[in-house]
Amino acid sequence: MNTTNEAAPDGDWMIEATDLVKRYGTFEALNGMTLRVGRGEIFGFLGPNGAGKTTTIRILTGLLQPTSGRARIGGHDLATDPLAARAIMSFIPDTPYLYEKLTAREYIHFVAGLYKTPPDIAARRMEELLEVFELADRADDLIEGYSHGMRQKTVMIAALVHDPQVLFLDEPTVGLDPRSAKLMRDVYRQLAARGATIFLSTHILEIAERMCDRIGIVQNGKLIALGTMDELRRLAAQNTSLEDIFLELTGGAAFAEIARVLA
Amino acid sequence: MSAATGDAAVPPGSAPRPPRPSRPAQPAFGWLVRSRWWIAWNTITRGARWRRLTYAIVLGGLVVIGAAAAVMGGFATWFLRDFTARDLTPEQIALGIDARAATDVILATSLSGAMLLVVMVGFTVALASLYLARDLDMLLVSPVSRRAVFASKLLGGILPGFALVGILTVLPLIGHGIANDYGMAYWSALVVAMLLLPILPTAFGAVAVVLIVRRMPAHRLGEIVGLIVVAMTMAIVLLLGSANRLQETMNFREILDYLGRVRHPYSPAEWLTRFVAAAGRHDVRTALTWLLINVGVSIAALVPLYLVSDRLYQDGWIRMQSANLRKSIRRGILWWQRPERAADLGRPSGVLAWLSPPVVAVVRKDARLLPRDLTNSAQILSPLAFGVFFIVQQILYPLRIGGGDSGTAFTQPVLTMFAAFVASGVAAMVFSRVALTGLSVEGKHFWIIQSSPISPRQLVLAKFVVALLPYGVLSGALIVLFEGARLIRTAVDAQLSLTAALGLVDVPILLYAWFVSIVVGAGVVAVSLAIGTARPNLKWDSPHEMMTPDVGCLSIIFYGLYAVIALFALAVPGAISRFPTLEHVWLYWLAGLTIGLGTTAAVVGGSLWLAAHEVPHIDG
Ligand SMILES: Nc1ncnc2c1ncn2[C@@H]1O[C@H](COP(=O)(O)OP(=O)(O)OP(=O)(O)O)[C@@H](O)[C@H]1O
Ligand SMILES: [Mg+2]
Repeated sequence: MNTTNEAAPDGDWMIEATDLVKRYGTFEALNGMTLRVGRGEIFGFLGPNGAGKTTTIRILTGLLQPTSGRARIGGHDLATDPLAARAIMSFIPDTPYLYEKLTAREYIHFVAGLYKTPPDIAARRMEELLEVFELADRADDLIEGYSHGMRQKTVMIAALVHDPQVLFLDEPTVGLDPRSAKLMRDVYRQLAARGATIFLSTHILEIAERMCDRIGIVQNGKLIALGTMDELRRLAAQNTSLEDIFLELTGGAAFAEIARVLA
Repeated sequence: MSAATGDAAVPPGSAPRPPRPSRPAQPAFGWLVRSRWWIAWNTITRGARWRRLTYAIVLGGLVVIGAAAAVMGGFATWFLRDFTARDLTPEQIALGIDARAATDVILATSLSGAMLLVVMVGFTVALASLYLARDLDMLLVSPVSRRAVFASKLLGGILPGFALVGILTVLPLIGHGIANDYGMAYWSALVVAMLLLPILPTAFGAVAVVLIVRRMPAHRLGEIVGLIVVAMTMAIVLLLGSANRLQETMNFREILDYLGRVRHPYSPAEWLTRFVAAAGRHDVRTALTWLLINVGVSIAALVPLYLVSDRLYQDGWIRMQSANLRKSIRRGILWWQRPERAADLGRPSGVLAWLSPPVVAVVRKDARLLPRDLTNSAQILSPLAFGVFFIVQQILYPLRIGGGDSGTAFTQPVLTMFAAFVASGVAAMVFSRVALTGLSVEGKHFWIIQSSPISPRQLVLAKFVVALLPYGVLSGALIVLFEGARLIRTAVDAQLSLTAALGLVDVPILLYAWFVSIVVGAGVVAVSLAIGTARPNLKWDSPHEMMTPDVGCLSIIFYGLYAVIALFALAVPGAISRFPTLEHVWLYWLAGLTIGLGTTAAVVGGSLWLAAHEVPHIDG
């Protein structure tokens, strides 16, 4: 397994998780998750359902306290200096629960206020992003009337307005139409090129393969593989596509089983 | 597979679903009710020690109140019977006339009061639980029958409220039965009557809600409920007012007759009264007749409920779902909500200029969310109705001290401080709830705040301001209205001109009254916020689940204790400040302000500190 990284020099890790353990009763959702992501990197997080992806992300964003282990964002320890850590990051969850009775503009200004973004800068960025995501003419409607994709875009815009250095995305493209999904991929790449670190979990292997600098594969609360596409290919010698690698590493036999059950 | 298939958690309003063909009733109802009980049982037994302790305290309080109610019911019965028995002539006794019959009025008033409460509660609760719950989306498209959903939602909403009403009604009647030496027949009849009592008013309320919602979306209905509550309040004021006046001229006998007016022959409560009373006196034939009538009426009431519970219920729900949510917020009287003010959310300005941007963001966010969600207004209406009650009362039957001379200048402050007392009570009832649910209201949206760099102190401060600011506005407005109403009456009585009447206003005392109510409000809001932060409920589906009853009771106990001390300490010097013969007034001021402001500072500081320490432990 490869846990070293050539993308970032030592000391410039934006995301550091050390030995994260999360227990629910006796069940270990995470047992010893360790990973580091450097500045400007796009990191893909793969794994079967229930592997612990959301749990890891929720711990790294400060939404969940780990049972043990340490997490640092941009050098700020989440346990001792959570506010500094949160100030430089954004989180886009898999199910975007939003205030139903706010409009998109109000919501985005609200988030900008939480992050102390100067109002004029926030307003300018917001209007630009609303245009880009084609949400501008609905932005004064209450969110309760929005479709799933429109909500996703609203969260996305709010997350970008304060110019985060670290971006966590849990299954970011669920519910987006192909055009918007493509748009969002372009936005991530742009952000990464400007030095932002992006940590995304996804089930769409194509996104991971095409976008991510490095990929980590989790199973049963542990990293079972980590590296660039090339490194992963070497790891699973005979396979070429990420799907094959994924299935081999996580036990693809289950799929034959599914076919048998459904038949 | 993506998460798109796990749609059950998608909030309501996402999309109207096609109606399902109706299915025959299934055992699903029992299952839905049982799952509700599991949830309740688990919250009690698996809850933290803290929670179990609260239940114990609340239970203890209820036992004390209950015992007092039972003793009072028994004593009133005994007194009435004794009083009537002395009046009976030997001939009447020979004819079999029973003094116990005179005590039936206690039965009648208890049952009528309970029924009135069920009607009032029933309508709002039916609305909230039948249409405004968030899990309806999932339940109504699942293969559970619609009747089962209807019945379980209605029961789940009504039962807790009715349990309380029922206990408060039964207790005086237990005293009544013991005082009258009634036997088994009375006790069984009482149980039957209590079971029958809620059926008619509940059915009435629920059917009305379903029928009205079919015509208009439930969102509008909140306003109608408001009107009904206000109208009912006016009626009660007028009733009590006339009772008030009669009291001055009537003797005991006449008061009894007056109370007897509750016993209207067309009132369903009266039919229950006759049944229970006859059972108590072993009048088998009368008892059976009235039992049959009551059962018949209840069944008759259930028929429309049954009819309405299937198609019409779903129609209303679909109507609500398909109400146009793409509404603009352009119109509306609340100016701070207009779209062009959206940028205010990220910018400290106006009264909030002294706060940091994250605090302002949360305050302005809540100031938009609270008025836009009508489910909140239902809970705010009943305390406000009490305020209306007091205003009308001040005009029709003004408070006076020392006979008729209402204009005595030195007694005015006493009445003004009393108005501050009432205003604080009304405002506290409304906004302690806002503070109690300050954190819980974030619900499933808590991730937004939790992942943002707002500190626990800032969050607590924001929630404190959100409740205290409107508290101050409301209590100020109420004090002015109360005083204005009293002034109008005084001016009319004394035939004063407008300017002369305005000259009677004691501005410093009025301002001091407002100050007192805000100080006490700060303490009440802080205590509520601390309790609500220590026991938040972020996992609610329907807004009325936000506040668990134990938390509500606990907060009233705590802030009630504090508010009495602080209000008394602060109000007394104000009230007596114009007494002509009083010496060393400054001593009263010193003592009052020291005690009042001292306890408030301690309570506010301690509560907010506690709350800020609890915030990091909240698991969203
Ligand atoms: N509050 C909880 N209590 C108990 N177990 C939990 C809780 N939250 C998550 N788990 C468990 O932790 C494990 C990891 O869950 P997690 O949500 O991180 O998976 P995931 O990798 O994000 O899966 P998916 O791809 O389906 O989103 C699962 O087995 C889940 O059942
Ligand atoms: Mg997940």
